[in-house]
Amino acid sequence: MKVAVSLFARYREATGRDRVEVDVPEGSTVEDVWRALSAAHPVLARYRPHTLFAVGNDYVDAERALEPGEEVACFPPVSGGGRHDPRHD
Amino acid sequence: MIRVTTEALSADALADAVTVPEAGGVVVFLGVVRNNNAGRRVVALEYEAHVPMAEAKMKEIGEAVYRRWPDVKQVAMAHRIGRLGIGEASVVIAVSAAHRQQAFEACHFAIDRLKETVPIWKREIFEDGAVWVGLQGESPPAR
Repeated sequence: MKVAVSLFARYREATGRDRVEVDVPEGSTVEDVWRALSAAHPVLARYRPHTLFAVGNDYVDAERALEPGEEVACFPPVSGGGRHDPRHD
Repeated sequence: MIRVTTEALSADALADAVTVPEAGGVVVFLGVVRNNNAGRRVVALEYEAHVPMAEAKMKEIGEAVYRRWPDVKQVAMAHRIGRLGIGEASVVIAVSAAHRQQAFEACHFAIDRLKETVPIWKREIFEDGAVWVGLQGESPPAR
């Protein structure tokens, strides 16, 4: 299945693309999509440990299986930076 | 009112949006572009967003505020994207509540949560280059 992937911030800049399409088997996960994406754009590979994923308007885990037609967004941590626990508030 | 926009932000507009007869206090937070970071002179910031997701996450923050602070009457949030000069507002949050303490607490919560969860990124523009904020150690060379 073809999966549309949108890229933001330095990922967009590094690849020169804000949207790419990857072809993955049905039942693939977000991680499978990332693998196909970073194979096509190796400049992204080193960012994997920091990457956040979203499907639609929600953050998802890399293990999330995709339905046909769903789109994935890949991006770096948001600009507030720290990964501190929001429960501190 | 929840908005991600390329247009200049108005603190007054957000304060007005949350001012209701039941509220006795309105707290407004403005995030503005600072002229330096980590010892380097910053000349501008560029913000980029996943706009529909950013607006959805901001709406979720508003809902979390209403659940947690029952005295809060209205929450409004706006974030600007694009290139901003020094002193321009990048984010405005306005909260009204029956009494000031809940308004202060809820506004503080909302800006912290926004910075943690809303998909917006910023790039610092220096006199001699630019860098995406975050993962500084991983940055490709400034160009």
